[in-house]
Amino acid sequence: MLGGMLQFYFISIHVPLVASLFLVSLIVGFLGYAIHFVFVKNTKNPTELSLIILTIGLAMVIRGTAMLIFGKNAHSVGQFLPFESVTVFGLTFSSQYLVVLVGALILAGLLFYVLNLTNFGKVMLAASQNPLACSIFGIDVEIVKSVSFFLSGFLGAVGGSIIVPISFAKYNIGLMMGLKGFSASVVGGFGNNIGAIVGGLIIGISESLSAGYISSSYKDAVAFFIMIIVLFIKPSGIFGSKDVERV
Amino acid sequence: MEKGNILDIDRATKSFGGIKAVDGVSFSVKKGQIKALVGPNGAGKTTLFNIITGLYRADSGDVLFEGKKLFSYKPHELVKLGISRTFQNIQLVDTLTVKENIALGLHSKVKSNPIYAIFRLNRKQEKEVFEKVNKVSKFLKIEEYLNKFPNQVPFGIKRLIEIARALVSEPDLLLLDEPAAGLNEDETEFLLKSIFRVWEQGISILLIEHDMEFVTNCSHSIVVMDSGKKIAEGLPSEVMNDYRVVKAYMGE
Amino acid sequence: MKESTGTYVLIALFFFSGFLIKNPFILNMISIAALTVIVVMGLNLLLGYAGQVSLGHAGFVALGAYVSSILSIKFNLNPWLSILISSLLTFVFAMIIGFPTLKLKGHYLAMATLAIGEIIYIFANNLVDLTGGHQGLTGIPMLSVGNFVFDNERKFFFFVWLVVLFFTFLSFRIVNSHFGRALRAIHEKELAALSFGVDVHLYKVVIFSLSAFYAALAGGLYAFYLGFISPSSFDLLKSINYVVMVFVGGIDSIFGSLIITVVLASLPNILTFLQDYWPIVNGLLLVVAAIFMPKGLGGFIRWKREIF
Repeated sequence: MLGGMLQFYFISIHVPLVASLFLVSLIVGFLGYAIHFVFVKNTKNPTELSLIILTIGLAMVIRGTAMLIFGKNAHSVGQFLPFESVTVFGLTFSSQYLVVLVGALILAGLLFYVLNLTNFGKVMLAASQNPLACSIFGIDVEIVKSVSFFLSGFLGAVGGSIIVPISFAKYNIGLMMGLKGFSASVVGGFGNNIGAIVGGLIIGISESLSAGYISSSYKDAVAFFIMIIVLFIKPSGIFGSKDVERV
Repeated sequence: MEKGNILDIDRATKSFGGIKAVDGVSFSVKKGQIKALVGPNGAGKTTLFNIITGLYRADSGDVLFEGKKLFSYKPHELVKLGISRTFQNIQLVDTLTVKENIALGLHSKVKSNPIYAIFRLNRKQEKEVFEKVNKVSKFLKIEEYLNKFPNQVPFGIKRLIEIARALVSEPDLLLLDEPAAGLNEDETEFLLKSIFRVWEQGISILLIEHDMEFVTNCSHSIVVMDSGKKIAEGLPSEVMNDYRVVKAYMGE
Repeated sequence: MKESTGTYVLIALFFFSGFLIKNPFILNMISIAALTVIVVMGLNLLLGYAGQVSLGHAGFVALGAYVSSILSIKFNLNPWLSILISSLLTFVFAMIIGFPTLKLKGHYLAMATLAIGEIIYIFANNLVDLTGGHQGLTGIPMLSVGNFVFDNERKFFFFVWLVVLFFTFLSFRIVNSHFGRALRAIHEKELAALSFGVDVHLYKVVIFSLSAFYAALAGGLYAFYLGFISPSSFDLLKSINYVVMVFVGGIDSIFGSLIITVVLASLPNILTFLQDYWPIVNGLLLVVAAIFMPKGLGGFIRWKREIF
């Protein structure tokens, strides 16, 4: 959401497109970093519950602030490409869909590369699974955490920026998008890249189908229904493996 | 399965992401025996405990308790069968008093749901529970702490509270995960005595420990694990002399 | 003093304040706050005692409100019976939906419950024939006993505080029992709880459904008190408000929930000029509570322990 709103703001003050995209992602990325630095690190006995509460609180503050600054109305943002629409196999759609598609592929590829093939990715996974052992081996877990906060802000902002020409920029678009992404990862299985993509496709396609066959007002509900049904049948998701905990 | 065994572990195997934490381990605990599981950190001892108590699902192998396959039970059903355990890192509930913490050990013996709670239908049972709690805390000499909260008692007492919680359900098999870790000499001495007194009541004990001296003092039989495998088993004196044990311990 | 004694005294104070307060606006405000208290107390059992987050409780309030209203308008059922049926139905619904959902933990559970709330909200908005859509549902009859009709603010005020008293009693009974102690164990040491025989998943589902029952009953009373309901009373912000109230009032503090809920539910009506800032204020409250007082305001009060 913040990505989308800032994108709208920068474009409206005539910052060039590429520069704006760059700026927006950096700003939100640093905001993510700051949140970790200022809030998460300073939380007294950070139990899982208090961190969740913290996240919800911060989300409310950001959302509320965005509403105050940009108002409650939706703002339109111009498409990125100079041509209005594309025609493939006789289907015509807005050129922005092309941008979103390519953008998503690039980001997914990049993320896959970073997480699975670079040293840093491995450190990140290790730190999430056993922070204590990592710090014993001389890995600065705090830095890893800060970077992941930056990355998640950064990625969220890029996603927000490229989607707003389609969805319009509004103070509350983040919630639905986040929820859909969450549903997709539940359906596909947590911690599984292929699962996330397949889950996303399943959710997306069933949404469009339900919009066509039932009514577009229920399409959001359908996404959540599918998630709950998957939780019923296979709680670990389609591609997920049973996950294990430690005492 | 041999007769007279209370616990049989048969080729238990568990791996985490390609690393075999427990690799084809088999051994048995005889009825009325104190058996010790020793080995360096990361040898897979606690993982094996978690397999026995159902917190982890083994990739292959079996665990039999009095001939019953444990994997077909859910973790919370084991207490009813007669197995209870303590934890390496103390798992007391901070918002409950010591007394209430110990009473949790009897949880599965008391009807417990909102209806019972609202109408107090199990008052008699509750009374019995707290009588048992008193009895077991006298046995372990921790009565004076009963109405305190866990963060108000010394560390050694916390270990005893954990043992009391496991004992209060009157188990047939008691699993102790590093009961002596972090205790001073006096406390260790008292713990040792308590373990023998528990054993005198006919309870079989399987304990994890890496203090070799403690183990040789208290157990009838020792299993040594290293890198997920069982590398030796036998009487304390035998095992102590075993070359491979020395190697695993000294890190030759 | 024991926490239960303190809480009952507080409820008595609120009840008798009904004789002194002349202004119907204030009576109305505190009555609505009292209904919120019921929801928050239920949520506190789930969030505070069992440690499981729900961001979908406004959805359960909505279910209680809509189902009972529809039963009484379309099927001419007695209002009391409608409220009871809708609360029980919500209980069953929460049980069915809680079964898969409560396998999730932490942030994932928060998201999934949020989705449940959203589904209900979407249906309330779109099943226009039944719910009246975003325009809302009107013509909900008033509650009555024989010839006695709850037709003014004062009568309802007294009644709703009796209901609060009833639910407070339930909460204390549940908390101070084997069941309640098992809930605390689930909150703090979930895997250990399994090992000493607590069926963790079942207990979570039971307490989730019970807290949904609290919410639905409050929702039903709300509908019959106001005579009008619309989806905007049950949106995501409401769910978050409930979480704020539990957390600021103090997880595992029933007394704290009560007093903070009355304050936080009333303030927006008094400080109307802050309307647009309210989400931010709520967010800040959560941030401050999470960072500085993980036990909430209730954590600062030392009660005498209730021991058997």
